Amino acid sequence: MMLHVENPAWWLLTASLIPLVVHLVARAKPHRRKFSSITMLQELVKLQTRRARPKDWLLLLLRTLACACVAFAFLLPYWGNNAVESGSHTLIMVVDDTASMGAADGQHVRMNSACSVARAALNDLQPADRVNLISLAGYPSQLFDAPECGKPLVLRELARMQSKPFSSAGVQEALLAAARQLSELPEGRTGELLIVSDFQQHTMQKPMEKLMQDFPGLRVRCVTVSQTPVVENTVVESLTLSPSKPLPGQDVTVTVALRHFAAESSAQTGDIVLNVTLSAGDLRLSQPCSLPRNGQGSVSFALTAPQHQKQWILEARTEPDAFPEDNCRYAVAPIAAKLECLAIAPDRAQLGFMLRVLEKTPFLSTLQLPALPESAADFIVWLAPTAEDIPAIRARLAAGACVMVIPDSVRDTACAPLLTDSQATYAAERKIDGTYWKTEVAAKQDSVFALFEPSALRALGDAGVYCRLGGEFGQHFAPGCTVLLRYTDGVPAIVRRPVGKGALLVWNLPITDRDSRWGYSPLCLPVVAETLLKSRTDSEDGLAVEAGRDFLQYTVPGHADPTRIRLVNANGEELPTFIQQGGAAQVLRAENVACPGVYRWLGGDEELSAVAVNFPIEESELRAYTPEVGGEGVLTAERALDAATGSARVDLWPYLLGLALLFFISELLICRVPKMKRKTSQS
Amino acid sequence: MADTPSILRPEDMARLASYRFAVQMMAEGWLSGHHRAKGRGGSTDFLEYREYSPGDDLRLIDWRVYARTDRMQLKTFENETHLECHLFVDSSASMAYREEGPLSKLQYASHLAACIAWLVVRGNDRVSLQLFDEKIRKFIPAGSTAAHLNQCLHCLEYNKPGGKTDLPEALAASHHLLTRAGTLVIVSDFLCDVAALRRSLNIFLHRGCKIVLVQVLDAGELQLSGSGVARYVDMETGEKLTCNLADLQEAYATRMAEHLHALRAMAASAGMLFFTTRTDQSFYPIFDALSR
Repeated sequence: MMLHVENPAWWLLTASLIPLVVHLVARAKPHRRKFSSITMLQELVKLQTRRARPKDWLLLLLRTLACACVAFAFLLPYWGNNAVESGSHTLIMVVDDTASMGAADGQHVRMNSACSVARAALNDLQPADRVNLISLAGYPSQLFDAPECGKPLVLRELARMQSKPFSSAGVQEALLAAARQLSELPEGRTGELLIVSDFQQHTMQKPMEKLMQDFPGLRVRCVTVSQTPVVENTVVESLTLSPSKPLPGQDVTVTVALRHFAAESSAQTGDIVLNVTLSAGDLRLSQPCSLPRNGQGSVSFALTAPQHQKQWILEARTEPDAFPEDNCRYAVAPIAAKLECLAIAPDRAQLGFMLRVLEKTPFLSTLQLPALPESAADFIVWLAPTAEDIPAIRARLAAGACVMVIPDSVRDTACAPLLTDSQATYAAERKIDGTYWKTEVAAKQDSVFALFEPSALRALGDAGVYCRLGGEFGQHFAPGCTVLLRYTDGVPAIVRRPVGKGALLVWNLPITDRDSRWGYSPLCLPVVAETLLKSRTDSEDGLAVEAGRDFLQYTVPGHADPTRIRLVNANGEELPTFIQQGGAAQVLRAENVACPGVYRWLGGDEELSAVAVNFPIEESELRAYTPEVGGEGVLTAERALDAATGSARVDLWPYLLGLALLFFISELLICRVPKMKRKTSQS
Repeated sequence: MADTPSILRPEDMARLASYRFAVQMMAEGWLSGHHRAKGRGGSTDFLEYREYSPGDDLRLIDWRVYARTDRMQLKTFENETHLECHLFVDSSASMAYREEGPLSKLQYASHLAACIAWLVVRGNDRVSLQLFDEKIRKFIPAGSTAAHLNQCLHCLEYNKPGGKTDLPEALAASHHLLTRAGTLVIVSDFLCDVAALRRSLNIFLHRGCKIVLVQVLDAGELQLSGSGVARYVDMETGEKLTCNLADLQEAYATRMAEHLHALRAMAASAGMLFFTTRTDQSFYPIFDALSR
């Protein structure tokens, strides 16, 4: 144990000479006065000097000591061990501030333990040692571009560090950046990578393995703040609407899926019953949900979509637990008066047949186009697509559209490849010798057919079909394909395949120049309409914003003034935005990354748009793992703190300032004592 | 007295005209004057009756008493003689001190001495003058003529401050210069040892002199003025002393008060008159006291 100073500015100690210098320099120049006889003065001065000189020396000593204490305090002295040569060491601290660090584990919140460990490690450094701080949540951020002697800054940053409910997609990038900084150190400097994390398996395992693989010789010290391998946690896993884009007044089923993560060693058995609360506008519903330990469960709410809203904000919440941040989930469902439908056909006559059906469907707003436009639509009914159209169809499917393709009546070149993911050609079969192909419901469990029970679409089957894809069509469908309707001889009539966020429908009831009944069939209309509606994949949200990675943005309509558009959070607080020129349009972009919650873009008092940002679900599984690192392995936070406490230093500057204050007070008292005595004697 | 030197202003003379220098003592003069003397004399003031003795002046026999009582009684009258006033004016360097008053102490003392001299001569008494510092610098024997007064006034007017003060030494040196006992008026600042002063005055007391001590001080000597650090230079010795006024002011005032008290006690115990005046004050209260 030795005395060290953190700020070796020894010249500051000269400040202790200030009282002496002031005494010598600022001493008033005596004014010369002739006096009749100084005999009496000489007597008095002798007497005064005898009394005052020790006191003056004492005052000077006290002032000097006080100034010396203050000056020494500025050198930031401390008492402790520090064997490492100052200035030769570099510490890169990677502090995990992902969402999982906000969980209460044992008696502490993980983030607090991590900051304590980081501070302790920082205190072990010499003043001239270099340090850098890298955080993991959202976009990985580093305090300095390269390690610097900036302990006070790092301490300040640590003091305000909090776990962020952000995505942990940047963990690997951050770890590799830290390792690169260490590997680029000049010769003669030692470096160490300190990773303080809960080592959540889902987010940390692969990046750590990658780190150890890419930088095998790296000196890594891992400190885990996880007290238990698995923290029991319940999460609202998803909030889905069916249909995801309801029409006004449409019955909607909202499904809230919950998941429970339990410790493997937990002795508790039996299902967990949680209360799930769903808020939809002013409506608040609550239902109990039973889910098995370490399993999943869901609860459904039957609602009606609101009539006069463009967007419907839903919030599902359960009772808080050790990790309350993931117990809430938001969804913003668009509510459109009509769904857009594009009708594409190479032939105007055939297009006319299609439109007779589609335009009579009340919730569809149909556009007739010769080719696929740029803008997205909810539905696309595409007659006789060719092989060249397949990439465009796949792109629309991936974007979430529901595409109904009707095969070429002569030779199919697109529908079969879309269903089978392989090249295939199926020739059309025509009615021969007056034989009609009958249809029957193939997938009775599909909700499409709930409308038609108990009739089994016999009328449709009896309607007569002039041509269809036949032969081997339907024998080599890709997994996931469902035959909704098939002919009595086994040839599929309607097939559905979910693709991405959309769905592909193959309507094997071809429209030909002789097929005038497609539009007249009494059942054809509801079948087409409901098939289209039901085939829309129930997606949680269309364009999910990733918490901590994405910035909220809004494309300003041409007629709107971007300066009047504000972004507000759920509490009504306005968030900073800036205008970005995106091509011809102006885009308003939030200055900060999005945190979980519901945000609204307001144009004056009118709500323009709402966005839900949800907690990154991968952060909810609080399962820790032990990374394989060399050296002393992974330390627990307690051990790391104990090790730091062993070499802990005692900062002396507060004591020095206290001592200086004591000296000043003593000086003041000594100065006042004669006056007080005099007053007493006078009284 | 028409050509009186300027040290004696007409307004002073006008004011002094109402005063009479009459120190309460028995004068020992050889001229007939206004002051009571030892023994019987020819004044108009009745003293006593006594039996006739052969050789007595027959003119003094009170015949009316003889007619009534048939006894020879002599009517005696008080003897009145002239007064000798010896003025001692301290003319040392310290008397040149002037800080707050309109005059230096020496000017003030000279002015006071001139007034006393004028008053004494005006009463047909004799006045002598001694200017001293550590020794007698100037001595004018006693006289009562206008020319003598002029000489005294001239001497006072052109009195310059000298060297160090040594009042006891100067008094000892002046003893043999005084042929006759009278009234000693010593004008000085008396910033000297009180015991030594007492010892030097004893010899005059034994000769039957009435001693009047007039202390002239500047207000700045009673209380140190100013603040901060000052370097005092002794006007007599040239010694220097640097001190902080704040530390000394109170102690100095106390010490000065003690010194004045000691002087006053010494004067009272020896039957001397003691007056203290400041250069910024009028000296007529002294004349009031002396004329009583």
